Amino acid sequence: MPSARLFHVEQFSILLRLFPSAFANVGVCMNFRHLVIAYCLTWGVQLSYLSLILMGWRRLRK
Amino acid sequence: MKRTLSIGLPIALIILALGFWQAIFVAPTEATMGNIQRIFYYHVPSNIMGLLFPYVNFSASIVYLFTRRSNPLRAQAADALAIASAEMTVVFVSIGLATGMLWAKPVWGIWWTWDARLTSCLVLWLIYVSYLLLRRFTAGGQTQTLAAVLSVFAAVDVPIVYMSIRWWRTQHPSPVFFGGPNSGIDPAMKPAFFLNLAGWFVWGVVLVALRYKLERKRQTMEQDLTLQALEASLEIQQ
Repeated sequence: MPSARLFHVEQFSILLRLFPSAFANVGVCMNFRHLVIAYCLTWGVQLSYLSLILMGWRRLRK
Repeated sequence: MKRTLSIGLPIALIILALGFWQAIFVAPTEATMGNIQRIFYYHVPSNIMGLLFPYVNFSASIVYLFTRRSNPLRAQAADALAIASAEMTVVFVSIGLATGMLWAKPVWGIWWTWDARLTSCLVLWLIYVSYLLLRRFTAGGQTQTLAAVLSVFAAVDVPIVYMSIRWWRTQHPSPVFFGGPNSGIDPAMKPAFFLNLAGWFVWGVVLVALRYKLERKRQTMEQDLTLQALEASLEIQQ
């Protein structure tokens, strides 16, 4: 069950200090790092596929 | 093409932006897993789309197989839809597998295990990658027919992927939705999940529509080139 609202000010500070050694709790850092990687990877793959389609259109128009 | 880009894409991006905001800033932290549970808002919709688009591919392939002799124009359109949906399936299943591994490492302590859900999902990904390789690297008139037959086999794997966590109790979490009396998510998490589900659905439909139109354009140009070559060879003979 959920416990509390997330992403308060202290979590923004994590964004600024993405170095594992800066954290006493390495597990928390790994969680956050994996979360950021998962979201970036999803958008990266989807946008790459969209750009491939648009490049295909440009190539066919020439 | 322009209408799909100017209407469909902004709608998808608005829903996805709302979904992202809900998933990161509004949805509560899961009590046992913490922040890493937020991968769920991208992982599950990606996997649901990865099980939806194979059926678009399957339906288009069936239409192709039944109409390739009687109605070649319709068959070509069905084939274009089949390739567009197959590519979208590979994209979504790849994301589902990758985000699943990123979730598994902190939660299970391992990147991968040969669990029924993970293995059947990997098999689905391999079938669709081989489908695309078959289309890309085989020559001759039978490529489309062979690909359509392969998509029928791929469609058989989809219900196995879906049912795997119901038939076998292994490492993967039990079904969150339609999984019995103790399943489901907290109501506070629902907006984040359903917005992302709707957003990735609209995104998928838009990309399939764009890819479909691109493939139709390529088919038309290929037919024009073939006709020109035929006309040129006839002129040479005369």
